[in-house]
Amino acid sequence: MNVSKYDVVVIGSGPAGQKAALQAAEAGKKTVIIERDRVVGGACVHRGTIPSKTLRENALRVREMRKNASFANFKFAEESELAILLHRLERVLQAHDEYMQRQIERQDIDFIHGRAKFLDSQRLEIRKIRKPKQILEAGRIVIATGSIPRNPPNMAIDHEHVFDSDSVLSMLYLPKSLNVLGGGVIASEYASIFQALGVQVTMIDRYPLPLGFLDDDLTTAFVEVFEQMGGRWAGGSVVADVHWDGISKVICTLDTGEQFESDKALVAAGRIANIADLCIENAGLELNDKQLISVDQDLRTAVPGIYAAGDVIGPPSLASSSMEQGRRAACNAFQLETGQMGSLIPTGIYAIPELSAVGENEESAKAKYGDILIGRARFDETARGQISGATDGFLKLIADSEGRRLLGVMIVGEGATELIHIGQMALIQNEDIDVFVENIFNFPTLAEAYREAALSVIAQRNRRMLSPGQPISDCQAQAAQVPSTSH
Amino acid sequence: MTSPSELISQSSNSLASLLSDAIEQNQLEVPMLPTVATRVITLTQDPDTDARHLSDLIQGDQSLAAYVMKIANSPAYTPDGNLVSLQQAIARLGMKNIAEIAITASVNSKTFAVPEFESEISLLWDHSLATALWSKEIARICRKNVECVFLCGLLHSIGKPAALQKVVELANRHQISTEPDLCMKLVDQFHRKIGIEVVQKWAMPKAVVDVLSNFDDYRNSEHSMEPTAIVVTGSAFATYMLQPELISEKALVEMESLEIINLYDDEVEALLAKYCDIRSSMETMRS
Repeated sequence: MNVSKYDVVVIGSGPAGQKAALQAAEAGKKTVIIERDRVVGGACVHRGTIPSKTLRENALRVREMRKNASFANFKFAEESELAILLHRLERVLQAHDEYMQRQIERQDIDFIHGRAKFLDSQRLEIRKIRKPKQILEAGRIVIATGSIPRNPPNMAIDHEHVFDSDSVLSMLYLPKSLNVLGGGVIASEYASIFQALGVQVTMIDRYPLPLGFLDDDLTTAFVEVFEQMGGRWAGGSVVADVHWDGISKVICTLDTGEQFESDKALVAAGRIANIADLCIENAGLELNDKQLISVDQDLRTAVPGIYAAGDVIGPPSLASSSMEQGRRAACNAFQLETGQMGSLIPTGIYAIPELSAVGENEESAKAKYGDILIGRARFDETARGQISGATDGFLKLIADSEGRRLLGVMIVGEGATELIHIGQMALIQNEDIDVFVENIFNFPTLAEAYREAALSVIAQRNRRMLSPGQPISDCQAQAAQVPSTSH
Repeated sequence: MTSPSELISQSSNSLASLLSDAIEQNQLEVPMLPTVATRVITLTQDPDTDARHLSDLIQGDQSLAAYVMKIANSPAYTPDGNLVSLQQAIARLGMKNIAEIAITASVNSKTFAVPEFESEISLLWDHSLATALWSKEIARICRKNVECVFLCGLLHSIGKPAALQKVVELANRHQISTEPDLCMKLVDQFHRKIGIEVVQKWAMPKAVVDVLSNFDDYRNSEHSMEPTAIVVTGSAFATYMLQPELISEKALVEMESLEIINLYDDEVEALLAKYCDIRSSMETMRS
């Protein structure tokens, strides 16, 4: 069998794989991408991020039209076909695919539709559909195969009644009811999107609040909005079994014996490294105890010449961080300058409402710095919030005990994932809280919330300077009473 | 004097023209099978039966399944007409309503029983059901479209019995002599068009209409390339199971549609290992 030689083989064409390949090709290296799917983009593009955000956009439209039903006599039929709500998806995906194909061609990157299997640390066997196998050899290999949904043994996922996050959007119609099992990002996003579309959603999870890695204020706000839309949060519930009853319902049984029935169920119990067909052991690699591939800070695996990036190495498992990891893996593989890697990666959760955070949250800031000051601003206190009806959000700033240094930013509400970047830039520049007051933002915008929250911190700072021994809780209580008349 | 081949050609042209007219003038009817309806009634009157048996029986017959959808979406049962899947319709309507639908069907319908074509009709049914079952298994391996492709598979050739019945009816009415081969050629020529019209008339889910519309050119389908490729593959597996002389295992592995749905040769092997299970499911549903 012929052996094709490359400088680098990139396995996977998701965010990490794409950027790794492009970076290597730009450096003049002979590069090939191996993708088991016929299209470029991986799960992020075809089964996760982009499809769910497309559905979310339509869910928001439906929600807005329901709110304003009196304008247009709007009525959204129950049990509508899901395809109707994803009508723009094909065009979005096609445009993305064409863009990526052009980039790959422009950089002279080879693309092979096939499944890679390690023969040893430098050779891969590529299994193709309807074509003979091929052997590739390269001094550098980047594993960027992403992740697949975890399938707990007590949950009978059949992709027909009980779905995972990769298959849920292939439902034929919107069910009347949906039980979402899990409380992480994917569970929260889908639960709130389907609830906004009028599906009766129950979120069932073992923890008391969803999105446990976020600030409690944010998760509480998420649950409040979710329940206001009609959803039910069943926290602190351990699922013992999930199965389709063979007739019309999915039965979810808790360890207490309590049962939840629904038309359909979504199991969102986390994701695991997608390495099933890779035979990484042939290369001398093994998974760590979290079932992920371990890498060092330069994204090197335990085997020289083999790098890994993206979901396959674990958190933060964000498309944004995966892209940067892919780029850096390629740079490190060929001793190219990588530049400083920003340690501040914002978290964006495209639920309804949208949530985003960067830097420290309240709990971690207290743990690190002890005494802190917190400033909050509600979107309904901004003119833009009132005009656009985006009144159920808020912004929260965390500052050090002197009320000067910005430690973290958290936002709930529409535009949170965009708005967070203002705070991210301030954090990167080590700006004081005052930067939000001393500079002028457009009016009316939700960015005004930064100014309001900063003023709240400054008010607490001033009070503290007047009464140095006053406990922080009193300062915050007083700050909450500070009128927002700072325009 | 007109030669036999010229006579056949004349018959073919006349029937093709009449069939075209019938399609254009909306003169197609897709009747129910009273025997199936009768079995539904028997089942619903049996105190030992349950909804699962009824569900299996209905899913095993494309005509009845489609008819249930049509009636389920009528104003009498669902004012909004928003039931879009067979599974949903069965769950919602309950056994009493299903029985009513079956009785209505058996009283008012003609059948697909075309004299002298019983074996062809039977093979068409079997192939449709096998396509639905294989499509579902393929979709499960692909981890999507499971719910949608069963119905798509079941109805993918609904135009064939309808076309055959119409061809024979037209031939009899206009006293045109026909040969079985000629009839089946006309069925092959017209069934897709008729099938699309039938599923549109029955207000089947968009996915079903899309799959039928794109069956012969799924690569250029804007909206349903994957589900159509799954049903095309399912149909080939069904042929392999029912008429192995027409398609070999090697030909299955080399199908173009496998590229669309990313089925690798080991996954095709895993699918083929389900052969006995699918045959058994089929026999259960048809018995």
